Amino acid sequence: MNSTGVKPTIATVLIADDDPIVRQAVRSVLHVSGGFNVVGEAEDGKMAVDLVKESHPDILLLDLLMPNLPGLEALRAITTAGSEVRTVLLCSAINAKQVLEALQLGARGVVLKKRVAELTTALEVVMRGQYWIESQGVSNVVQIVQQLAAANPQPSQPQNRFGLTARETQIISFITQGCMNRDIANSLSITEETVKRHLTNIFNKVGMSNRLELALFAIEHGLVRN
Amino acid sequence: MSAPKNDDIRSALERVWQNSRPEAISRFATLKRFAEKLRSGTCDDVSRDGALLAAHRLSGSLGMFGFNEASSCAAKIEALLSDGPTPDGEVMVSLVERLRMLLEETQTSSGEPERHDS
Repeated sequence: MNSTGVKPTIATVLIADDDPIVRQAVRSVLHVSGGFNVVGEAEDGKMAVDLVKESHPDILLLDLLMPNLPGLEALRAITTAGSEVRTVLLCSAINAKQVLEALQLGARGVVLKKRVAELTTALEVVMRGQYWIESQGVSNVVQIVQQLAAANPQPSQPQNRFGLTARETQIISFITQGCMNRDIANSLSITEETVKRHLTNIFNKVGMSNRLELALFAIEHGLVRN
Repeated sequence: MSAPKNDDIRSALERVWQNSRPEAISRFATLKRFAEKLRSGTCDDVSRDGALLAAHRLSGSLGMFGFNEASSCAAKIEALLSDGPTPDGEVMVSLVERLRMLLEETQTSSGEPERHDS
């Protein structure tokens, strides 16, 4: 019980890493915090997918390099299955492109193993609905995209490989800056309805279904200038 | 829930490291055997795969316990093994020797988990 008399929520965690020493260390760190209950351990990617479906943990700690099914492929399978688990990658090393891909696949954060001391803070941030990237909590898509765009430079000229019109590319640029439809409409002197129509066309052309996916896709494919 | 103190985390990890050290040494032995086979021209796919797994696991776990230099050295060995079927024998022997020295240092010093204070 805390000072308000309300029992704190205990988040359930599944640890997926092929190394038993890493799993034991993570379990130990989480035990120290007292705010987490480890409900299972998976030693490969396929087992992680199966255990998520079976035990519905709040958080999945997922290594990138694992036998049977690599981490990102396991994440893809979990997202495709419609799981609501919050996945945090726990890995030795990761590049900006992999972070982008992980976010597109629904990951909520990345913790490097050498920074395991940050793990409980990261998980608390993620449980509050934020992201944990590069050792800090991030509350919105704009910050994430800007950080990753800086770490993952693209050609100076935007590339148009998806049949996008100049106006659509302009709108994508606003989306990556985190603008809402109203802001975009005001900036371009068009109606919100027109912005929505453009967005529908953009989603159809690039195969994305929401603004986060579109922003990350645009950065990754150099559709807008950084 | 509240974040545990760094000292508590360090103590918890220190206990795990003491229990895990024999396994880490065993992983290093796998690497050493592979380096010797590489030097004598008798290495095979099985020993190479075993060495790759050992290097990968050492790289990840040593970093968790704060032994960042040893972790980095294991990562270099992992990268060398991932580069091709026949890694450079001299480079491998040199890296394995470097890792041996770094692991010896872990006997006398406890690592400190890296923490980014923003």
